[in-house]
This record gives sequence, structure tokens and C-alpha cells, in this order.
Amino acid sequence: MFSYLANPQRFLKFARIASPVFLALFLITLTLGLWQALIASPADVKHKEAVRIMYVHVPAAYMAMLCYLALTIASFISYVWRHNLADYGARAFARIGLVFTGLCLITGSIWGRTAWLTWWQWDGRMTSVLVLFFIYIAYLLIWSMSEDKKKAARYAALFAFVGLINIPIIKYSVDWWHSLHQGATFSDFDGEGLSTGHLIPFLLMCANYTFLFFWLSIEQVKTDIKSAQKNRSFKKDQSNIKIEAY
Amino acid sequence: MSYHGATFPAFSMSFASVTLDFGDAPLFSDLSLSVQPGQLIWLQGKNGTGKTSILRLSAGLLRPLNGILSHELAGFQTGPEKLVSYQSHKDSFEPVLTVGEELSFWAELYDYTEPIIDLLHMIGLKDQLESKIQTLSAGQKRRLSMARLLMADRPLWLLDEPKAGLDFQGQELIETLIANHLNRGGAAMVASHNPIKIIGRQVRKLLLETRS
Amino acid sequence: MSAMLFRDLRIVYRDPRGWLASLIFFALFLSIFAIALDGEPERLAENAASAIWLGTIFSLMISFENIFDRDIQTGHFEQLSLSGINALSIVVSKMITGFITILLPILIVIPLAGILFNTEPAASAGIMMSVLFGAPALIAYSILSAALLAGQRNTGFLMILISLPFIVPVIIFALSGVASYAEVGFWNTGFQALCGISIIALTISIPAAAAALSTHLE
Repeated sequence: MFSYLANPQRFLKFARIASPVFLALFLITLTLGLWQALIASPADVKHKEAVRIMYVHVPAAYMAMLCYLALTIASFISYVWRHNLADYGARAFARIGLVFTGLCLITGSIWGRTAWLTWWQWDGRMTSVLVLFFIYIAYLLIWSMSEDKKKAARYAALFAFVGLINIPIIKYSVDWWHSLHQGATFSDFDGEGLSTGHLIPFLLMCANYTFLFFWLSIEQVKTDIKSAQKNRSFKKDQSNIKIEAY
Repeated sequence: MSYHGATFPAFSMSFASVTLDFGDAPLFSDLSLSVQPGQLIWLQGKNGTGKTSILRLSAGLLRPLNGILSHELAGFQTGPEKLVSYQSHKDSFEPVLTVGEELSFWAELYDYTEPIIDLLHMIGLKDQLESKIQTLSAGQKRRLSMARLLMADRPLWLLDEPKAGLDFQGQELIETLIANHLNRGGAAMVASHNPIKIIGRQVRKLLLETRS
Repeated sequence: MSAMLFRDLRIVYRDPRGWLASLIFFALFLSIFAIALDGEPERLAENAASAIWLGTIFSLMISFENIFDRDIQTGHFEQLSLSGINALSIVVSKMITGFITILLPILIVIPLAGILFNTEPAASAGIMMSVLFGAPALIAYSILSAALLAGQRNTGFLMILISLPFIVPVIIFALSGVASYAEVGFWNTGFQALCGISIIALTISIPAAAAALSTHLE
């Protein structure tokens, strides 16, 4: 599938069909998901109505990771085969990932206010998401820094690989650090499992975010292809080379 | 690897429909050329037409958008570093080191075993062994980079404005060195605004013009 | 590679502005930190490890920011790559130079900084040891950032942004190692983890930095 879509023209053709499909799926799951999450599902015993933040928050955390994974796969393709489309993809995934990571931090903070009575807690999870947020920013800045986009793609890809290996280490270290300083861990949904009432809106929102991810990535890559084509039509004068002997 | 003044083995370097672009603007497209032993190629053209880019492509310091570059030495494909020496418009010497220190460094990298002072004698810098490079004039630095070119002893020389900043004797020295190099079966590609004349040698001219 | 290392060290010897700047920055940072803590002896001793660690990281970033610049500007790297030297040995040589000329002076003045921060000699020894164990990781990530930014201008901010996420675990393990140094001695969990991180950092960053440098040269 990758090699089929690697051609910009074929990708644009694919995008013409796929983009509206993902947009439609996104809108459907959004309506259903929001209705389920905000109205139809029951309030939680412990967290009361605040549980509804989870339907926005946890899928965002999942998307933050998924985008990074997609980003490193695209970076790998870009690094090995030097393919423009993989570059565009990697950059699009990073932008989307940055937004979801930001969303995850904001909603996490709001949830923290209701559950732990504090806006910010240096616990393992929040800290590692914050670090991930900085990694996304650094990745995008590496992209924007170099004039030569082909080189920038390679620098960014190398940074993404190092980041991929480091993310579990950072996660492990902040968890370990947290357990060292704070005795009690804050309870959340892990281990307890979700009841069906909570599971349905949760899964709907996960699906919803995933469709949004696909739609946004396709749109981003489409824009990048078009702007590259447009730039190419503003050619500057080429040098004409004659070879002669005397 | 040093050939100690002996004739170079057979080699060639070729461009096959090479296109180069910076960002989205192509500089030139579909350039094909090949360089054989004994040839002198003069790259001529206005600023910004791509003379330096052709030299850098040949040295493997730039990557073409399309097309194939091949470097061949003694019948085998090789990397550019085995085949070429590139003298850019930069001097590529560290200002705070002395002439002797820099040349010994390159001598070690290139396994050059002959006395450095003889080399300095040849390029007319015999009294500068202990001088810091920052005290040399532009012309003296140009001469010094010829010393590195001789140490590396690669068959294909890529020279970017080799005569810039040189006095009359210096320009003659360059032409003598190029002539000796060609006589040993080497080749040179020279980007220059002034014509390059080597007695008894045919010069191939590569004329770069802006297409309007 | 020894020729390259020797040449780099000689350049630093001739032109000592680089390592002096990092040492002066280190002293300045610690002084400001001490003033910000109101110069209170107890609070100073409590925060000595954090202050010294942050000072070390920032001085490293500042000096590594342009560790490749000189050689890029003079055109030395082009000539090196044309002589068939691979980027890997350039990176390793620069790392050793960085260690000797930037980190080693800082390590030596840490006991002095300890006096400034009113710490016990044993605690100073713990801090010194933590910087030593963390040194390979610090240098590995600094050189990676420097290689990713090679040839760019005004990279100080980016340098910090690129390396800091990776340095988070280093700081965490180092500071916990310093904390338990007094009771457990130097072979505590924090320092063990720190050594582990240093090894991982070296194995990832050296090839990545070499790849970045060859990208710069192509």
C-alpha cells in the first residue's frame, strides 16, 4: 500500500475519495461519541460527573503516542528511501501529535483539579506527557530550521529515532522518580476496568480521534503536495550548459 | 594512498543526466559529461550559473536531485574521496595553527612521508614553516592549499578559482603544477573567470549560461 | 583519529576562549543561583546538587553549540571527508575534546562550588561522582544536538530544546544517586541507573550524530 501511495498523483487521487470518507466517519463518531459521553453514559461512583473529562483526555493520550509511532515509521521510510511523501507525512503526524499532546495536558490538568484538587502534579504520567510535548516541539523546530528541506527531513528523522528509544526510558525514569517521592499513587481507571456504560463512549471517542487523525494527515499531505507543485511552476532561470573544445 | 609521482592508474568520472536543484528551483538539468585521464576542463560562466555546484557534485559534497554520478578508479567503482581533491574558495586551514602543524596533520591523514620542507620549497613558502596561518596573506594561503593538493595525490583535481589572489609567479606556479599533473595522467576541472592555458594541452570548455 | 584529537586539543590550547567561557558561565550561574536562594546556608546545601547539575548542563550546551562551527566555516570538514575520514571518528574525536576541555574543568571546580554552596566534603564528592557517571550521556546528547544543528546560526535555544528531553532521566537518576550517596555509598541504584543511561546514550547518539554530520556534508 505504501509503495502504491508513494506517487503524489496517485496519492491525490486516493485523497479525493479517502478524505471525505474519513471526514464523514469523524463527524458521525463525534456526534455519537459526544452524545454518549456527555448525556447517555452514567456518572462515575468515585469521580462523579468529572468522569466525562476522561472521554476527551485518555483518547488524546493514546493519540499522542500513536502519532509518534506513525511519525517514526514515516521518518524511517523518508530516511531510507528519501521519499518526499514520507517527509510530508512525518511532519503532518508531528503537527497533529503536538495538538493532541497539548489537549492531553490541558484536559489532564482539568481532571487533576477535580480529582486531586491541584492543577498540576509532577506525577510520572503527566511529566512524561509534558516531555513528549517538548519532543514534538523540538522535532517541528528542526524541520523549520533548515533551508534545505531534504536535509531537514533527515535531521528530523534522526531526532525522531533517538526520541523513540528515549521515550520509554523517560517514562520509566519519571515513574521511578515519582514512586520515590510520593508514596500513594492516585487512583484512576487502570486495573479496575471500565463498565460497559463507560466503555461505549470511550471506544467511540477513540475511534473518533483516529478518524480525525486520518482526515487531518491526508489533508496536510495534500496541501504539501500542492504547494510543492505550485513552487515548482515558479522556476527560476535554469543554466544552459554547452561543452566545446578549443 | 600515494602514487609518488608515478603515472596514475586509469580512472574516469562521469555525470549521466544529472539534475540539481536548490529548494524547488532547478539550477541545471540533464547534464552529462565525462572526465578522462589527461583532460583539462575549464568551467566558465557568470556568478550563480553553477560552476561551484558542478565541482561540489563531482566531489560528492552535493547530492543531485536526479541522475547518476560515477567515479571509477583502476576499473572499479569508488567513492569520490579516492578519486578527487577539491580546492574550494575557502582556504580550509585553521588560523591559530602554524603552517608546519597543519601540513603535518594532513601528511598523517594522507600517509605522505616525504619532508614537508621540500613541499614548502616547491610552493614558495619555505620560510613560513613556523608562521601561524592567520599571519599569511590570501595568496600565501592559496599556495598552501596547493601543498595539500600535492600531498593528497588524487588523480582528479577540482579547483575553484585557483588563481584568485595570486601574484604572477603564483599563477605560473599553478599552471606548472596543473601541467605536471596532466602529464602524469591526471585530470583537472577548473572553475575560473580567467582562461586557463597549458602549453600543448587541449582545453575542453564547459560554458554555463543563464537561459532566458 | 589521534591526529584529529591532537589537532583539536592544540586549537583549544591556542585559543582558550571556548573552555574559559564555559567555566565562567558555570561560576556565574552558580553565583546567581546562590543569590536567588537568598544566600541562606541551609537552603544552599540542600540545593547544591541541583544547582551544580543545572550549571553543568547549561555550560555544556553553551560550549557544544558551536563545537563544529569552526571546522565548518574554515572548510576543514569538507577536506576531512574528502580525505576518506568517516563522520564517526570526527564525532568521537570531538566528544573526547569536549570532555577534556569543557567537562573536566567543571569537574575539577565542583569541590570549589561545594564550598560556595556550603556542602559537606562527602556530599561534594557525591555530586562530582554523579557528574562523572552522567558525563558520557551529557556529552552524547550535546554532540547529537550540535550535529543536528551543524552549520545553522543562533542555535542556542534549539540546542537546549533538543537535548533537554533526553537529559531528563539523567538528572533524575543523578540527583537521586547524590541523595542516597551519603547512606548507601557510590554504588547505589541511582548511580547504577546513571551508568546504564550513559551507555545507552553513547550507543544511540554517536551513530545518530555521525549520520547527521554526513548529512550536513553531502
